[in-house]
Amino acid sequence: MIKRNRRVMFTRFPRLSRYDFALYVLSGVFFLALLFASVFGLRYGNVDESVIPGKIAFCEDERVLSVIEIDESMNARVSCSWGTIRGKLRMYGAETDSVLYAMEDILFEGSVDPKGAIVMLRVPRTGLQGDFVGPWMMYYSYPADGDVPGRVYGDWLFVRPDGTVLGGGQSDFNVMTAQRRELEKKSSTWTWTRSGERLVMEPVE
Amino acid sequence: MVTFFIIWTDKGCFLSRMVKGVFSEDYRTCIASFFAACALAIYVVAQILFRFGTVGLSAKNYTAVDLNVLAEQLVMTCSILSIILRCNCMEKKTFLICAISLCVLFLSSVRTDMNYLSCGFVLLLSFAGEDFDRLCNVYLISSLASIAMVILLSSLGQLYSYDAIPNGRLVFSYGFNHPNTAGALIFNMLCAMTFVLWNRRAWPIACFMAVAGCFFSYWFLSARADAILDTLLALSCLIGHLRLFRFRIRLSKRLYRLVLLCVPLTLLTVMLFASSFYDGTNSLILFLDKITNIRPLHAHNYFVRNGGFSILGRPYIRASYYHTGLPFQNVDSGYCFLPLVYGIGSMIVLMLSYAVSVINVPESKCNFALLTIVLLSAFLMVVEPFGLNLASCFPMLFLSYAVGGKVMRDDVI
Repeated sequence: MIKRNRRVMFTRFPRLSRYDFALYVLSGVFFLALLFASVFGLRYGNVDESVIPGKIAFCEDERVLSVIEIDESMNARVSCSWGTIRGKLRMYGAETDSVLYAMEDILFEGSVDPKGAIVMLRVPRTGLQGDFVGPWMMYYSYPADGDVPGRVYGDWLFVRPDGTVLGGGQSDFNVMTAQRRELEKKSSTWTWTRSGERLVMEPVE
Repeated sequence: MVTFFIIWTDKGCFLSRMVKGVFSEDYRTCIASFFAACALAIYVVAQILFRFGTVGLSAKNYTAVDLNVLAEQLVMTCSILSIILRCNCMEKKTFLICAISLCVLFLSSVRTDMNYLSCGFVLLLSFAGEDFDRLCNVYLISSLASIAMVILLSSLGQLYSYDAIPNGRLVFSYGFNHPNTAGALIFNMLCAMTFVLWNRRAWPIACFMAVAGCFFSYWFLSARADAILDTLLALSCLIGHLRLFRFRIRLSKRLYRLVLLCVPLTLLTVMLFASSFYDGTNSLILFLDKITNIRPLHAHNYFVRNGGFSILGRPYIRASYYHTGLPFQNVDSGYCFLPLVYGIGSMIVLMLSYAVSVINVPESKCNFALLTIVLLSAFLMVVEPFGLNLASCFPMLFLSYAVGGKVMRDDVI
């Protein structure tokens, strides 16, 4: 009988060298990383802008610091120490717990020319109808124009669920997101309570 | 300048005599290869972690040392050691051209305050005579590990993930500075993977990864150019391995040289004309604007605002600030970035290096993979200045043929 060479179903693969082994393992890790990143993107990449409408007043004790009012069509009215500004909000960025809005078609109180002004708001993802917990930010900048002096004003509030508030003012204001990380490292300076549409902050002695 | 001095004295024989006296040739070459590989690995990992990724930003909280600068100095040390040990690997003509190029790049780096080109070039010099496959292997492992680590850490919330709205849709950068950076890094890593696995049984892995990268780039990074290039890479992987009815792709060296020299030159010329003589009514320029998301227009604005092309470079003026409401203004095309920022001198140096490397590629390496990958990288340079960083795969490793020339190992064998 002539013996024919038997074919087996699985041919023998050569032994993997160390490099090949590392390559396959790392490729698996890379694919896993892509999957994790996809989950992250799916989770935080959708911004639900429908819960934004509402009104919030930031008060220190009984003194009203600022008021933000937003309606369903994203028209906003921001009033604080520099005056009242109206405009339409457009989404400009987002983090995992907040959304950044830039204001367009800006109108100032009185007949001040709004050219070159930049107004930005950062609102927690739960919006104005939520529990107010999260990072709040207002940034306003008006460029100098000969006779009219320029102004930059920025304010951060980071409202924590445990009842404490971190705050930062204009001197702390730098690049928006990096400044928030610095702010989170400071110790808290206020406690907060919510009464209706007002977020009342009391300084900690 | 230290490198220049060392190469000069190496030719002037004191240092080379000393080194040759101590080490035998095989031993020298071995250690030189080791240092070159170390330099490449450290450079790739450090650039991905500290410059393109936000690890550097987080690390600033723990250490006052600028990790990017530290890594760069380590890389330069390894490169210089490698160059010293590999003495007399270059012909006189090559040496002279390399020295002049290094001078030009050094002057450019002094003026622009960005030393990525000059450091990359020193790194290239240390690759003279190195095995090309080995370089690709080292690059692949280091970039794969770092990119995977950065993406994983950012998705788990340990690294900051920048947000961006490049095409009207919110996307994140997953640990890198911008979604396009992440896309370009992934593309270059996939190029390396395709090349390394080309002649192995496991080549479908590269194809599969390219498809995964394509989906990720399109849906989660909104980096459409990278998605398209990843698809083309996967397609070329399939086509290159086709064995239908005894049909195989064969390339002659002349065709190779022709394609690789003409295509990037055409792209460069087109982008230079578009940025300097931008004409809103020209249909070709309008078409370019449409497919590259108005990059020629931005380049032209930069050209007009900053006095045109420079000879030896000028600092890059960033007119757009992250999240301040100012309009977006950036030179986002590699071909325009070179003369506008690094200077025409650097552009000529890189063009010459590229041309010499295309001419020097040995016959055995002229396979379909190399052709496709270099072409796709050339196309990526139209929409990204990433290829100029010389930390990406084939623009740098391919240029190593320019310094090695006739002495690349597989020629000797």
